[in-house]
Amino acid sequence: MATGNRVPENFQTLSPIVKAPLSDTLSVPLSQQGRICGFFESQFYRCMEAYGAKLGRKYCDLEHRDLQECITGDKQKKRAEAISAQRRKLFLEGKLDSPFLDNHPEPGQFKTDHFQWNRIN
Amino acid sequence: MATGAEFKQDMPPKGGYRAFNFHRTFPKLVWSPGAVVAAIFGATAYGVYTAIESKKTDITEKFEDVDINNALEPFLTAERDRYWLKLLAKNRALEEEIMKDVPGWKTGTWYGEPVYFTLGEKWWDPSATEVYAHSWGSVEAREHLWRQHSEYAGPKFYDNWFPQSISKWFW
Repeated sequence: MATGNRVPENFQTLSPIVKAPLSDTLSVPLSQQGRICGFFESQFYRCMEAYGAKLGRKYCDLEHRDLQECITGDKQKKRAEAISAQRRKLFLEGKLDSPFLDNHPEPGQFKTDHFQWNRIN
Repeated sequence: MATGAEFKQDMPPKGGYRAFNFHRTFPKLVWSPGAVVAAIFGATAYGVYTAIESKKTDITEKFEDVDINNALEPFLTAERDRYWLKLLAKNRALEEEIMKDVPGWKTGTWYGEPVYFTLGEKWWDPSATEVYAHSWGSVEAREHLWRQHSEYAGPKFYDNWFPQSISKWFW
């Protein structure tokens, strides 16, 4: 049982709670492997592997935060909300003609490139 | 009362009835069988030839399309990256301009705290949430519509049938 491997903030465990031959298979789709955030997940697990479960909580904090940010996007949402709130505020103060831009990212220009060269790491 | 003088017996016409044709009758022969068979075979052969030739043409056309696409691929990718980087640069300038009065705000971060800590020099694309921070919600919806648009994206014949407020929501 992986009772010592709890990551404190979000009730995650570093290894499956029940370690059985089948859990190795079942844990793959629950991971971020092959997705965009797989990069941050692998960075985090590399770090945890280097420092161990106990020390890793201290020394892999930034990797863990990056993984959480990639999965949830919380900081990016907060940033976007702050920007749009400021735009609305400036509009109400009369400093902007319109709170938001009309045709700003033109259709087809939003092209993220996470999987360029068919690699994600 | 009827008398015998008023009764008239129907008789055969003078010279007798015409001869009764008891022979088997055939329809008039319009096309000779040989001509019909030759025409069918000829039409079939022509159709097969046309089909094979048009298939060859289609294959060639497809090959040319793919070939041109392959040849253009570096340029298309470069154009795509160029648009994307210009968009990100413009977003950065907009954020700089808009948030300059907010105390403690640093462009590209959350009040000085970077979005990702451990990236270093590695490039990581922002998500749609950040990219569309300066836009109306309808612009992002339009992007989602645009990604699923049909091959033809130009003006439609029904463009003037609906007001702009409605027609921007469909293709």
